[in-house]
Parts: sequence; C-alpha cells; structure tokens
Amino acid sequence: MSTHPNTSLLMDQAALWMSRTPHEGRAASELKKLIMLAVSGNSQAFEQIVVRHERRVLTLSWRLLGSIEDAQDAAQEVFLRTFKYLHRFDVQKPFEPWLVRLTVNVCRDIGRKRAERGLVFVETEKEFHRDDRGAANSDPFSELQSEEQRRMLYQAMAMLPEKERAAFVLRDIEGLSTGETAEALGTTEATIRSQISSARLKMRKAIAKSTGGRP
Amino acid sequence: MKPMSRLNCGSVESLVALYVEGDLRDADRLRVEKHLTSCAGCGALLLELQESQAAFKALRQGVVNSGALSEVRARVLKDVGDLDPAPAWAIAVHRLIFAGLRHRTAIAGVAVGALLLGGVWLGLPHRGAQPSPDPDSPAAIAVVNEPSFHSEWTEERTLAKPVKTAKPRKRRATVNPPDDRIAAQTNSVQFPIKFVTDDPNIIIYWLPSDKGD
Repeated sequence: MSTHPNTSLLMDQAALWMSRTPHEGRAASELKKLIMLAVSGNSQAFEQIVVRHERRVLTLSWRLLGSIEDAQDAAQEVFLRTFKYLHRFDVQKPFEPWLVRLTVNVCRDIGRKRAERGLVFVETEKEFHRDDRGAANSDPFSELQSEEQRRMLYQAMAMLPEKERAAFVLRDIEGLSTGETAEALGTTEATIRSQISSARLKMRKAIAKSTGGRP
Repeated sequence: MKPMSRLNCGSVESLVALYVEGDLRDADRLRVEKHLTSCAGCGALLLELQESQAAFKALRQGVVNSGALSEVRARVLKDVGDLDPAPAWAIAVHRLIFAGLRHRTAIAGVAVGALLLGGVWLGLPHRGAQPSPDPDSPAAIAVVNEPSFHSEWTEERTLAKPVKTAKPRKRRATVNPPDDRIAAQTNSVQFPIKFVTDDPNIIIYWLPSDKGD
C-alpha cells in the first residue's frame, strides 16, 4: 500500500507554518495599514490592495465560473464591493478569507444569472497559461499532453453541480482546508466533506471515462 | 458498531474519497485503513483517486495572463474613481453599532433586545387602561351572551351535551361581558362558563353550582 496521505498533508502544513514567519507577519501588518488608509479615502492604498489580490480573485473566479470574461466581470464586482464595504471589515481578522467569501458570493450571483440565460460553465484556455516558473524544463510534447489533460479536467469539472464544484475548487484546487472552505461557502464542514467526496468520485469517473479506463 | 471490512465497498467509496486527502477523523481513518488491507478493489480505487488528486493539484499552476489582470485593474480603478468612499460618519456609526461583532450576531442581539423590551412593556400596567376585574367575581369569568343560551339550561343538559359546534377562528378562551338581561334571569343561580379550546370545533360549557363546584 502507498504511503499514508496524511504524511504529505502534515508536510504541507509544516511548510505552510514555516512560511508564516516574520515576512508574513509584516505583510499582514502592511495590509492592515493599507486597509485603514483605504477606508479613510486613500485611493492609492486601495489600488495597492487590488494589486496584491487581483491574481487570487481573478483565478478563483475563473475556476468557479470557467469563463475568463465572466471571471473578469466577477473580479471587477468583487473589488467594487470591497471598496464599498471595506469599512465593515474587522482589521483584526485575516483579509483573505473575507475576500474569498466575497468572491464566492459574487461568482454565485453571476453563475445564477448565467444559468437563467441558459449558459453553462465553459472554459477559455487561451486566456490561461501555465506558470512560467514550472514550464522551463518541459518539452513541447509533454506540454501539449498536460494542456490536453487540463482541458479534460476542466470539462469534467464543468459537469459537477454548482455547490459541489465550488467546494471542490476551494478544497482541492485552491488548497483551502475543509474548515476554510465551509466558512467561505457559508456551510458546515460535514456538508463540505459530503460535497467533496461526491465531487472527487465523479471527477475520477469522468477522467477514467475520457481516458478509456474503468468508469 | 459494524466493522468496516464487512460493509460493502459501495458505502466505503465515499470514505476512501475523503481518506485520500486526509479529510477523515481518526476513527474513520482507521476503519478505512482496516478495510483497505482486505479489499483489493478499494485499494485500486484509492490509487486512482491519488492519481486524479495529483492531476487536480497540477491545475494550481495555471495562472491568468497579465493582460486579463491589467484589464480588470483598469476597470476597477475607473469605477472606484467614480465612487465616493463611505463618509466618516457612516463608518463611525457602523463601528458604534456593530462594535466588532459579526452583522448577524449584532442583528440577532438587537432583535432579542427588542423582544425583551416588548415583553416588559406588555407586562407593565398601562395608564388609562381598564382596571382588571376582580378574579373572585363570578361575572369576570361568566359567559352568558351566547345567542342559543337560555335560562332553561340545566346541569343535566350540559352534561348530556358538553360539546357544541364552535364559532370558527376562535383560538383562546374568551371572557365576554355578561348580558344584563340574561344575567338578571339567571341571577345567582347558575353561571355557565364557556371554554373555547384550541380546536375551533370544540367548545366546553360548564355550569357550576352555587357552591362553585
């Protein structure tokens, strides 16, 4: 039998803990100052907040909605709501979970409107590319293969029900913990566990089917 | 508790899907591990899930291109430039009211406070309100304005037909002021008392004797 999955989880958590060293603390302190300045009307401070979080928000929106155009609209709306409601944010708490929750809510609204128009989860690969840091050593064939694999994974993800897809994206792709995912989606950890379990099995079946393996 | 190894594999699948990323509690994890040692099919499922999870993690490397990012930033900053930030008084009021509490908690607190105040207000005697009747007075509890009621009512009749069809939509026991004419007829002989129950179809009439029993 293979190694216990908790071993890698513990290593990930240790790495995460080690990364939250003075640098992270300084970043959090700076962010707190930026938020307070932005609340008092400093537009440059708000721009700094946007610059720091735009990639995270746009990527998450894209993964939740599957369309870069919709993701851009979502990210725009997220930052507008951030500007509008930043004074309600408690600076003693971490900012990212608040922003993730806001992003999920906005994407949910956009997803519903899209469903009313009869549109579905679609993926526009052209707007996305692999992180250049990881692509340096890869050859064109393996690059093409991984592109194909990613397309197939996103297509499988598109078939998931909305709630399962949101839980799956946050837990398995964004890498949030079950508790953080539950908080972001406004539900319980038990519900999240049920949703991600179902989503993982469905994804596995879809992948097996598309690769000709056992469904 | 039934041992996991005796369960069918269909019910274990969902647990294996959680086990693969360490999402199970210790007790469940141990049960799944025990099952996996004796079930080759579920062991194969675990391997497949581990492979698919590795593929999902590779998706984390996908990033949006900088053009899409700068477009969003430009749109946001343009929109924000057209907006005014929240005024200082609104921020101060918000902090004063919510005082670092979550909105739902604060709103629930205000609602509970309002209910308590309302309860206290209803419990207080109000100026100008009618004085409450003497609870020992029979008139306070007698119901004699029922149109079908006559002085010929006897205890025997009451016992024979204790249940009458009720007026619809009456839910609580009511105490109506006595009709002078009928009160004069009945004098102090018998005061029938009407109890309207929660069931609108049931009314109970009680004719106490002079002794009150």
